[in-house]
Amino acid sequence: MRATVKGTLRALFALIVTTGVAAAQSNVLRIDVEATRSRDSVAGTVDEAVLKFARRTEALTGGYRATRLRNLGMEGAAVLLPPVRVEIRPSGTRSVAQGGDLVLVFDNTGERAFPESYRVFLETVFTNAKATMNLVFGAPALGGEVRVANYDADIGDRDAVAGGYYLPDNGSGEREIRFPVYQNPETAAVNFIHTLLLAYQGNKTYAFDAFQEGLVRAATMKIARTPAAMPGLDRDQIEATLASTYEIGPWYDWNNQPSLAARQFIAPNLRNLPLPAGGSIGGLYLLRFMMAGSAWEKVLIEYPNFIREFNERFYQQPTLRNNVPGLVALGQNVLNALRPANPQVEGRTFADWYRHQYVLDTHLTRGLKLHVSPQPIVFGLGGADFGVFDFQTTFFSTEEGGREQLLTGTSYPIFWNSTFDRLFPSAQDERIDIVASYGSVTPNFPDENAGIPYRVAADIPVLDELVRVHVPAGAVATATKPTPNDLYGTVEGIFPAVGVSYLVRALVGGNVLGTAPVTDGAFGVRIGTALWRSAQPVLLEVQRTSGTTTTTVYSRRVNKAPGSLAVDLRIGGEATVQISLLKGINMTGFPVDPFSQWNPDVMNLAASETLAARWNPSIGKYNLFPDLEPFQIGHGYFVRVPSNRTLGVDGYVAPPNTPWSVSLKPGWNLVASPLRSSISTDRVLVVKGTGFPVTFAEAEGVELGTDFFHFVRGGNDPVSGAPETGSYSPASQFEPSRGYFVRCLAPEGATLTFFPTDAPPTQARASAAPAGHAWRLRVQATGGGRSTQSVLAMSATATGGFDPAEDSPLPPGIGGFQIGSQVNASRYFRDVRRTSAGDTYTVVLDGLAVGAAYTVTLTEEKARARQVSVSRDGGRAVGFTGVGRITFVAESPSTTMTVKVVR
Amino acid sequence: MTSARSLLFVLIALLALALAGCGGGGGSGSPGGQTVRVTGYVVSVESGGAIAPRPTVQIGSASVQADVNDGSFAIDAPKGSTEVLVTTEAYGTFRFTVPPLVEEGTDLGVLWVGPQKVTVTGTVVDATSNARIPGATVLFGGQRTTANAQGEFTIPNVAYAPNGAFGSIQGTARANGYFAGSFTAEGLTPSGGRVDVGTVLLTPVGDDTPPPGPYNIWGRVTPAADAPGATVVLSEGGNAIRQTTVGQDGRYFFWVPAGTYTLSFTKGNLSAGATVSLTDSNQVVQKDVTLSP
Repeated sequence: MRATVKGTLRALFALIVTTGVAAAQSNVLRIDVEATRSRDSVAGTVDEAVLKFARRTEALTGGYRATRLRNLGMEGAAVLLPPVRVEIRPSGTRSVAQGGDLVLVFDNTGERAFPESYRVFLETVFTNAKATMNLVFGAPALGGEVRVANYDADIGDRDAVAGGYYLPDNGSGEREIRFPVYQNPETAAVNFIHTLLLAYQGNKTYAFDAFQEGLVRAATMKIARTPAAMPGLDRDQIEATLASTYEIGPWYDWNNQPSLAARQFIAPNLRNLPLPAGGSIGGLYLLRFMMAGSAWEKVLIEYPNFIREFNERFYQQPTLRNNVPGLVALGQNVLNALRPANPQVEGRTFADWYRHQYVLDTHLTRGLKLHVSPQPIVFGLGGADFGVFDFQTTFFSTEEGGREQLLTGTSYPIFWNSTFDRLFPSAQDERIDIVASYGSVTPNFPDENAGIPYRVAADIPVLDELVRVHVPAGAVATATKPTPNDLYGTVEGIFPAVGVSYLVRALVGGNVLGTAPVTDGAFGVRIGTALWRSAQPVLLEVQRTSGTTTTTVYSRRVNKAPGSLAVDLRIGGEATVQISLLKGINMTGFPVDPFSQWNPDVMNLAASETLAARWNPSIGKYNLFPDLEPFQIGHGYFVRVPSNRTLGVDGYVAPPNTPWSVSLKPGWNLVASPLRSSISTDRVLVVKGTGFPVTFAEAEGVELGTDFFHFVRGGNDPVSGAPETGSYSPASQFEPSRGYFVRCLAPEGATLTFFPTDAPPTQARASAAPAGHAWRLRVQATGGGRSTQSVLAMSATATGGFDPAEDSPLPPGIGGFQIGSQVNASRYFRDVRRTSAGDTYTVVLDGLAVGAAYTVTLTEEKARARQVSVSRDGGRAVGFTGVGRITFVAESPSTTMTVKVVR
Repeated sequence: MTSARSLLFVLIALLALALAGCGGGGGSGSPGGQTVRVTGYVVSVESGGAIAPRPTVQIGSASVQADVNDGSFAIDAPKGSTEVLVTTEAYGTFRFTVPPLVEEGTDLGVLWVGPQKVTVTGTVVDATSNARIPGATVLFGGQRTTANAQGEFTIPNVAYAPNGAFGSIQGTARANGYFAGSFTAEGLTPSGGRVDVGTVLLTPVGDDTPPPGPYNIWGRVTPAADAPGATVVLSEGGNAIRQTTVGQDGRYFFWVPAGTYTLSFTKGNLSAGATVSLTDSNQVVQKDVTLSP
């Protein structure tokens, strides 16, 4: 109650002060009335308001007024005058035209007062920009007073970086802009417009920063770039401000990554924390602001009136504020209205365009997040500088409520050239130390081929997160060609061949403004015209020429920001991937990075029905949805679905002939092939830390466990009618859309790179067969529609105990069909013993369905023993050489076989 | 920024030196093997870089000055030495205890020095079981110690400087049967001369098998002799939705969406019942029961 009274008094004083200050101009009492009222009721309302105002002013003693005015620094300067003019303004669900102007209220003294010159400057900024603001953003949803308070002393670092903020209610019933004192006038002006636009929305704000801040920042950029709106200010300084905190500039493509998705851009737990020391900007918030601004800027480039129209329609239906599908539909409606003939953005429907912009995904998702922001270094190049790029890494986790933890870690980046040979730029670029969420390296990719640009695939892994970005070495600026190109990028999914060439064309309005040959997956050109450097829609085409035949193999529309443009053109890099799930439990894998970051959407289930999990070896537990990360390429998951279904997962995929990588933590990792075809292990390379890639076979028993496993669904649950459990079986290759458990033995983790069959074969070496086996027998059991297997072997290097490089323990089942060799209290999938003249193995089958028929096939894979015999549950032994087979009907869920070997 | 980059440079240079050392083969020890070549870096926690004037590194009777550019040093130390003294004009002397120096080419890593000294404390814990790990070796800022029986460690005399590179120092903890774990004191400031880094989690290496599948309702059934093979039916709203069998270890598991469920256990003439509520599907609830006639 105290706050309310105080708030009322403050509001009244604000009115008094405003009217007092304005007395020299006009002394106005503004009164809101319902738009639909009759003339009589309007008159009644006005009378009542004037009377109330008069009573309230009378209630204030002269002494109190004097004190208050003195505190405001207006002692003797302001005279309380009764209103001499009444403005009647419609209220209630008013439309934009009914909103009225903002009236800025500043404290003149006290801790929230700005220096006089700064206050005057801010007022002037508003006065000058108001017309353009109304044109770009629409008139205020709610006019009237907005307090502008000096929070220079206590605004959060991140909010200051973001450019101030606005509160629809500061707790005292006032609308308030909280703003710091920026030393640079252009920065102050741009940021003040940003907060003014936030205040334009009154109390009709969007619930998500992707809309709220994104739309405002895009509009701010457009206003700030309108010279008439910013008279007397330095254009270069304005551009510098926009470049540093408002837009991502040429590099939208490179930064469009899933980790940007968030409900609020500044995590609530970080809002009031100071920025960490040591260069970290303290999280991903700034990049989110910039990417969101740039995303909506793309729409503005094609539809200059989009934001105004969008806002005006939103103000009519403010309940859409937290309804993303509704807002997306609203976006399409606006396009329909503004350009009925072709209502698309960058060649896509609004919904399709929207889902391609990760920063506009408003879902609150949890788990580890990694973002890699590459930027070319184009100044100060010298010596052997050819492809210098700064890779800034942000590593954090998101928890319940959107809290973010700024994490510490180490990344061993892997740089591949266009033929996927690992590059080692220099020792200092082989490791990124990430402290307080931030770390970076700035490698120089060497000139490999007489100055010809080439594509670099940068895999940046941290724990089991990995981000792949492609950059064009030698295509931006080099020591010998220091003038930067203004169109550059990379192309994936092309097939170089003798007599075949590729080029990229940039067209504006149907006219070719520039072309650049694609060399080793990279291209760069300096177009240099004023037309190119302006913000506009651009059509990019990749053309293939073979002999005299030229065909366009790829085209993409990009609404470019002012200046240069960097793109990553992924031919065949998007797809709808079909992932089949059966009723019950599944261990699946994603060869696709879904556009949607919300797992229930991907699974076509309500959040309350979603069962999805991924093993986290760091804590020895599953991360269960909703703690689970968003599904991502190369990761495997347990999921449970209530009915058979095929997911059509839209997202980014590895383009044709492009290897893709998966990062492993120490311990067991639930992974998947990132490719959409079967990949044998001899097409998988393993990289540990700063080392050279080795084959999968070479890594087994060293960086990786001896075996990797897939999931075998168990029998049907008698009640649900579907498998709810299962067991593991060793795998020999990676099938698409399946999950696998792969064990990493390296403390620093490792990275698997999967080479498709149409990729450069240079490093895809043949996998070595399991080394050193003097004898090996494969035992395969089938029955009840299921199959499982085990290996018994002898080797000169094995011991009687468990040998990590040779033996392979049997994974614990959860009720499924399993076979394993019993050694003391353990069971092994692969039981390798010291080479000897003979030995006896005890093989146990579990998970049998009583009454079902089973066949066990024993195959000598390496060498022939003089005699092998097998008996079951103490029964008669059956001898064989080469291949033996026994069949039986299960009398119990478990049976034991004894295998005797004489060599 | 400068500090972090300097540290990065030092660490990378250290790595490069270590790699170079791999191929170098040694040979710098004195005849008879009375000394061993030892390398390392001396770095200021104030600046994250090398120190001027050059610090003196002393091991036994041998001493050398660290490089002014990157803080590196190489010294022929008396074999078996266990102490390194680093003396700087600004910070005085720092004493580092090391394992007996017996191997040629031993790399001491980065020895941090600074204007203040603090004690770093923490606890080494098994990441999967939350059990404390006794005897873990913990290194931080060049200082090292061994965790006690409760997994707690105390490292005195760690270099510290306000607003310096202290937060970027990476500590490591190692224990038999675990992957090495790292930690930092990022964002922490001393209280009473102590900096508590909290829990340092280590992941077990000896986890030889993939984990069983996920679940969010589980429990143990007793008596142990009767539990295996007992049937467990999970019902929601009176309708059975799942059924499983208690394993040989007396445990059962279900993975279901959030909701309120009843559990019915039966084996022969033994039975038990329980109710379980999951407020969210990421909640894991343990419900133990005892079968009775």
